[in-house]
Amino acid sequence: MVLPKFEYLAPTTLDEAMQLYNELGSGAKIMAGGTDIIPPMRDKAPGSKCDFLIDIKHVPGLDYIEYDEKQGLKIGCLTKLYDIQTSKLVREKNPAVAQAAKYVASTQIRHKGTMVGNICNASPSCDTAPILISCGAVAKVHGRDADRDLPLGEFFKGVKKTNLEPGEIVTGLVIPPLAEDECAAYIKFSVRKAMDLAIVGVAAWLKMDGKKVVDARITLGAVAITPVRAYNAEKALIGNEISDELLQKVGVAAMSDCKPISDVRASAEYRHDMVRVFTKRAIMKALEGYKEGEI
Amino acid sequence: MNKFADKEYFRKPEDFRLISSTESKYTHVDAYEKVTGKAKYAGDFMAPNMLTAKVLHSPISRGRILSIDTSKAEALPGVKGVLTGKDFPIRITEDIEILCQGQVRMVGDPVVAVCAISEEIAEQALELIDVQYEEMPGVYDPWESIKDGAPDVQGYGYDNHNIGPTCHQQGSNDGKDIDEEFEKAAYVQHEDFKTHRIQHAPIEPHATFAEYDPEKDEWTVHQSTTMSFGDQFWLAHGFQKDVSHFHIIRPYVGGAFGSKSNWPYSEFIACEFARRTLRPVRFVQTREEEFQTMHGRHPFQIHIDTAFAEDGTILAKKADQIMDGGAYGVSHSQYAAVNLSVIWCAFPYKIDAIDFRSRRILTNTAEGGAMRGYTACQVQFAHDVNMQLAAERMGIDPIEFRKRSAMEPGYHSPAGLIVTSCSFKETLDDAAKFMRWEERKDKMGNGEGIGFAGTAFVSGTAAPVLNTPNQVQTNATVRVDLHGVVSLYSNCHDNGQGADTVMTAIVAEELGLNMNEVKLIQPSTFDSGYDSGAYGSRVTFLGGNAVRRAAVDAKRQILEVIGAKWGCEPHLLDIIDHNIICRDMGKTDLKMSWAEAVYATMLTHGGDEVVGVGSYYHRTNNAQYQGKPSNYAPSYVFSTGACHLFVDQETGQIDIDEFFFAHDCGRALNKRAVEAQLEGSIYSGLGYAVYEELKINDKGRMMNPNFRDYRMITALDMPHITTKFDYAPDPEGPFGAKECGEGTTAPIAPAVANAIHNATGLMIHELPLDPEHIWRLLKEQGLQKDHK
Repeated sequence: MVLPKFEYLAPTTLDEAMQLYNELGSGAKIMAGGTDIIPPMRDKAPGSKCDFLIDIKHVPGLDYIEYDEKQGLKIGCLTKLYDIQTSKLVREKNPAVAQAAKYVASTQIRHKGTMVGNICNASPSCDTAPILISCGAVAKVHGRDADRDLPLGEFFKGVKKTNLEPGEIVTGLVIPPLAEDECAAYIKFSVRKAMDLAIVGVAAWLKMDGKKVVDARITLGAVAITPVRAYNAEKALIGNEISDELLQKVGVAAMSDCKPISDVRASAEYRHDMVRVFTKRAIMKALEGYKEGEI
Repeated sequence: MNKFADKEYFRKPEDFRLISSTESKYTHVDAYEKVTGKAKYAGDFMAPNMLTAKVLHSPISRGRILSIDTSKAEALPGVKGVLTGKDFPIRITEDIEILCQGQVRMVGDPVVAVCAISEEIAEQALELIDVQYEEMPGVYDPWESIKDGAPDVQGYGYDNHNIGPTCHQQGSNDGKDIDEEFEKAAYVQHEDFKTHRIQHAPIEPHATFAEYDPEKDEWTVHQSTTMSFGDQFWLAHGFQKDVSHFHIIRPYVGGAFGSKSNWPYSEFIACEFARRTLRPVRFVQTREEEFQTMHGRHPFQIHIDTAFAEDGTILAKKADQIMDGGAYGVSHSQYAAVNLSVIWCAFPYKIDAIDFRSRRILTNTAEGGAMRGYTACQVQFAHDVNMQLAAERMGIDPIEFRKRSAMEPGYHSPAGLIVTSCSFKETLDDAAKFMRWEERKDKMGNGEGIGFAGTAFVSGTAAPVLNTPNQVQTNATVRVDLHGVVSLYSNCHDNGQGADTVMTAIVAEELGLNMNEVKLIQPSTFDSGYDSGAYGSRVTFLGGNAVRRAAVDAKRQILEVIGAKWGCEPHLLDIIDHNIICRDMGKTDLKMSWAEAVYATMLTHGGDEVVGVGSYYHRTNNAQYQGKPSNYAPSYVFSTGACHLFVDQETGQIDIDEFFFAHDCGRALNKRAVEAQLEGSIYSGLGYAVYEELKINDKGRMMNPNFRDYRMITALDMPHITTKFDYAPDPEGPFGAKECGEGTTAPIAPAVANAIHNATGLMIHELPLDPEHIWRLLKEQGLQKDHK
């Protein structure tokens, strides 16, 4: 299969990129790593066509991993998944984010693909979205007239659709710090250990007071048109002490929070039950924490 | 076959220099080219003016072609030709059209071909073609297909109820009556099994680079193939010419696994475009074309009735098997599928009364065909799980149970099979020992299990595919030039399995040379002799014997000259490490260098070069083609697979901790390659057992013909593997070798199934064993907690 013809543009400043993106309109796409842009174009997948590809890889200052005591982890839009997966800082401050990065595709693809790109592609089975939503992450959005912060929980609109306005570019992510009494985990369930799409993915963020759950955010991936919060599961969890019975209950509650479909990878029935199983496991994993060298 | 050479010169003492050596002098002859990317595959060939060919496929599973409008495509600048079914008014192997002539029979059937100056323009041209179909209801299940009133899958008007080749074998030893055996049985078991559809998915798709010379009326075709003489034969048939017009060159082949023992539409199309345009034409099939049109593994439905004696030995067995053949293959060309699937029922046990029937049924789905372990993976999955269940129900240890009926050297099966070398029991013992079965069997935790499976396979076949004198399988030539440099002319098809290496090693071993002193002539149908192809696990055994005979024939000519000079019997001479030596008592100090000996021989022969020829065929009759018992192969191999795993009882996902594989391949000629073949067998066997499945929807459309949704195993999914393969050499195989790497795929799925059964108590009758399937079984059957 041959890649269709398109104009390749490589701006070297964010302003230049913005200008091109706004001038060229809907025929243009922003590309960072390109791993979700180029293969569908070659396969002539619906919605993949574009006349202008604006490669922002050459814009300086957008590849960073930083940590701020107040704001938390900051990740640039050109920061590669592999760098996030292997970052000591990320592993120390929020290992679930490093784990989510590692779940994406393969080592080769993670050397090119970025976390922001993974988010902007807005696939229902997106591996990095659930943990970002659960952790209350915010996308730094650069617009023509103004910049804004878009919470990840409000980022997704549908399959391959986001709530970005035309001409807006995501320049980075900010993930709030985990306090002493907070913990988080993400588990992806797939048949293969790499190069596979999630059957379900579950992220859990918890605020604890001893054995009691003070607050919780559970996010489910691959079981609706966008990643979705499991509000019923959260409701069942908050204010209660962790026990096997509670986890069973929470798992069952999570099943009512999603609308999985049957496709070639799994049936809706199976996905439903796996939401139950992996909601429990994600909560347990968050409480247990990640060991050194685990990711 | 040179009987004299057989008799006098094959008694080589086992002081091998290369055979079974793992030292660096045994080199993989094409490793450097492949690792550095220098190796050229068919799709790498390019030439100025080259055109690219592409095909438009049927989007429906069954229907009539009402009209084809190619005018817009033809008008597109850069398009150099368009072909439709009327340009190929022939059928190959009875029922296959190059491009459909009025009717389509499966999604993916080739309908229109284009060629253009670039791949991009060819793709654009396909989009401009308008084909109107009258869609007709298709049939996608073999049991539905054979019902009265079912749609005629092919529409050729054959009165066959969509039933293709059938093989029915009945027989017994010592006049036993099968019904009586069933009556006197202590235990009779009835089981049903079902297997799924997968595809070979070689990294290199089928590819053709075709050139046509109008002066000679001759095609030169670089083809990714494992059966180049088949390509030559069918191209000649397709173009209504004799074979002398087709020079088929086989470049490096990037994997085949059975898929390239065919004659794909792409090569006919490339050749026809080359003839019409007088320009080189390249056709590289897409991955989707590979999945949809290159005949993957047949789905099977299998019913087995088995009669056991009190002690667990098998008294008699009946099997009724149907396979989903897809839309093509009514003719004899698919007879091997049914014939082999009957033979596997008889393996690897002594069964003195048999009644086995296999039928290949047509449906409007992708055609089934040969794939690594041709029908053995399906049939032996069923028949081994059948053994496991019987062992358990009769309260006998599964290893002991299998050993009680295990084939032994000298056993004659009523299926016609004559067992020569056989170390099946040893492989079972080794597997039990490795898994510490005796010690662990009663101590495993919940969800933990160990499973064993024993299978057998042919080492070569009787069928040379084309009609050959004496059913000869391979013709090889070894030529020695005046400097002593040896050239091997052999078409033994290397598809990545290492045929080029092992043939070079056989000649070097026989002539006492280093491997780099034997030059393998890059094979083609005009450059060297007939070889029927890389299929049926025949290359090392049948091709290797032919090559060895050619080397021995050259050696004989030299030793006769030197023997006469020394006054010794020539067969008492040998060539060891570049020297002719004498094994005759009292003359062991005689010695002459290889180069000197070659020179002396040519001098004696008036300057003629030394040329040795060799051939090989399997000494059997052709009763197998009439469905009658015959000794299908010159030798048989036996394997035991063993698997230790854990089952996640909530998700159904398995975690394989350890896989052990014991394979009786006689003497391993290239140990590193054998080890890699066994590991590769576990790779593809596990893919079949757990990960890979081609799904067909209710319209006969393949749902996942791509590597995103068709799950090939990744490195991370592979378990820890241990292999063992040092068993008794085979008396007939070259230097004692037998099959390795094809049938070895068969015991994987049953070993995994038996381990899951051991871990959970689940009754498994269907593949694949993917998490959702196990989860469903856990829901349906419940966890059998007290099963141990």
